[in-house]
Amino acid sequence: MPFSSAAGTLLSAAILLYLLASLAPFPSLMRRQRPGHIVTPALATAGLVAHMGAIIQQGIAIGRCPVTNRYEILSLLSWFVVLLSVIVYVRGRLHVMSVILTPLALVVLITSNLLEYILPARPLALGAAEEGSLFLLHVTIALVGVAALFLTFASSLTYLLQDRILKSKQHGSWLRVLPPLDRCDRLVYQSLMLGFPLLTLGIVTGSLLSASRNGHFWPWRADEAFSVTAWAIFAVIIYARLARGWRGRKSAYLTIAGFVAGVLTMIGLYV
Amino acid sequence: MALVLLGLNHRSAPVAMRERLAIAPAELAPLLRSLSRQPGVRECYILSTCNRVEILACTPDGAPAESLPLEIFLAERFLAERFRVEPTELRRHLYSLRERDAVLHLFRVASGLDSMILGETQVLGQAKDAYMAARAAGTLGPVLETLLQRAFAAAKRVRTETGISRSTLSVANAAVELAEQIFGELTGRSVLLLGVGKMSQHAARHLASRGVSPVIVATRTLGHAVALAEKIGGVALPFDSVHETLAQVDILIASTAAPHAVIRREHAERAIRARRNRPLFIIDIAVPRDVEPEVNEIDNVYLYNIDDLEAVVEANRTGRQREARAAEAILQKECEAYFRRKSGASLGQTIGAILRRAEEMRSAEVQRLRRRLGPLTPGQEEQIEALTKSLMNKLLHRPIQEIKRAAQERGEPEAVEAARRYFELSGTFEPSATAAEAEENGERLAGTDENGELPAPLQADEEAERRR
Repeated sequence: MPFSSAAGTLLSAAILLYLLASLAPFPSLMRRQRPGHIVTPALATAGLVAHMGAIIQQGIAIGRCPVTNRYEILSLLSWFVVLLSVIVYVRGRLHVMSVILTPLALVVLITSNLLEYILPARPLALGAAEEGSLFLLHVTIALVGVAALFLTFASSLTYLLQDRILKSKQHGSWLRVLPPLDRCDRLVYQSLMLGFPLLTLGIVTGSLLSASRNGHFWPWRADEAFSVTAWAIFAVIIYARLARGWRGRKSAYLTIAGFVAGVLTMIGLYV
Repeated sequence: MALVLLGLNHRSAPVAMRERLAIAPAELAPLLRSLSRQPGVRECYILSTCNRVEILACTPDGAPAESLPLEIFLAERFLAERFRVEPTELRRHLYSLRERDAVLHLFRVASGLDSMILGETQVLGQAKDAYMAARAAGTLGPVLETLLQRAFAAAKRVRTETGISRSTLSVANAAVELAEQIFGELTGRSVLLLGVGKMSQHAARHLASRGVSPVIVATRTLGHAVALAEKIGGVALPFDSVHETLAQVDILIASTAAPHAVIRREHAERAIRARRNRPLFIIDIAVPRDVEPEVNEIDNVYLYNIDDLEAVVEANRTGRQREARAAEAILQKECEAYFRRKSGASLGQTIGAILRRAEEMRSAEVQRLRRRLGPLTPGQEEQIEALTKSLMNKLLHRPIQEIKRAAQERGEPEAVEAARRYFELSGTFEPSATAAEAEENGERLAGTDENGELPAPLQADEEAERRR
């Protein structure tokens, strides 16, 4: 296992809690009711605490910040994704984001764990302490940015579902399960406006880091490929929206495409 | 004692009959009082709405079997005479229910399951008003008081535990709900009324009550628009400028009498471009349609015509029917619970009445004895008291055990009936003894010791009883 044993126990607890949080809304969804209880966000929060405990334990065990390999970085990413879904729930009582994002974060966490088991990653070579703190800044910024883009993805998906329900008029009671269309649209925009600048900043700090470490700015690693593909697509979306008022279905499709392309690039380069 | 429910509703009687029996609020109290004076009626309650008139009555305990069942008496004498309706004609439209059927019907009515619009909640308010009226008129007693409270509680349970009242069944409301699914909060959104049908006015009022403003009205004749705008607090607009205005409003309700489409695809496309793709919700309730159906193909435009809205309502109706089955199951359970409690209460009450009766006889006999014997020492007095009490308790111990056993074996109504016969109990219980108290008394007597001595608590109880 890539984690120390205490961290491993906490991580298992976190995975279990995330899993329960993912399954909790199903009974109400089956009855086509909006999951009105706070069970999913509450379980997700408990999972967050356990997950954070695991990350800290791991940091103590290895004697430094646990972002030394891709597995640990993805674990931190899934933590940020769940955190964001809980924040969205607390701020706007949007259950659906929790319902989509918690399983997604779980998938990231478990997949990266499995990959790590099959293909143990070399720890990233880190030099001086100074470089270490720049690296930490880079990782934090980039991960929060990517987590925000997970939210963009989830809200675009919700938008498309709601749009389809409204257009096809085949809704029955599914209509009320999802948040209003305008709400989804605003969330797409807000999360994009959070994620995009952070992603930009992440890329800048990343290339600075690369320059100081390897002497060149752009070594084309997996995370960079992901960032750049996604960055370009999101730049187009934001430009079109601000300049042309381009929004709605097609914009949502492109957002999802950008996200999926980014994820695929990363998976491709990871394996 | 029997529960009798007699009534007619939208299914059993045509409106011509219902309106003849409709009771104005002012007439309700005198009618209730006069009903409660009828032979065989101890407590009564009347519910009169535009869809139903129902009388719920409770007969006195142990009343001799009347030559005429109460429902026939009420129908042929009371109602027919009161409302000057031919009795045979009236009887064709009346339904009468007793006991369990009456209780279940009452619960179903209160929950909106018997309503024309399944799951509507207005009837619950009407039933509560009827309850208040009966209480004010003094025609409720312990039986109907409890029963009606149970009915309201059951209706509340149905509403919270099933989705029967959740979705709307009105086209105008369905339009408002759709608008909320598109825009979320409607505050500050604007609506354009194109033409003024009754339904579009209705929808506009609903929208305005959710904060939609401004409400813009456009009709072929500007005068009409101005008049309606004044009526619903909006602004009037010349019909020619409708296409430009389309870019500025969020919701359009079209209901003109125009023979051709007023809003064509290019109009909507132009509007959506000018709005920078902000969503536009178009409700077309005109027949023939005012808006080309192709408009729905444009991104960010959501077009609903009258059939689409009807389909939403229909889907909701199907949903309500599904929920109604769950509601029926809840009411069955509530009905059973009601009878379980009631019979428990009446067994306790019966035992309490037996005890009171015996105690009355005992103390009367002791009084008589005293008068005959003259002054006694306190010790002698005590001994007489102890002797008579012990005798009473020993005599009663077995029969009360038997009543309880019979209640368990053969059902409580039968056991209670038999016990009343053996002990010559009159119909009414003392209202001061609640069911729980009486039940407790019964329990304690069963727990007397070998000497038949009553444990201290019961003596204290009896003291209290005497003081009362």
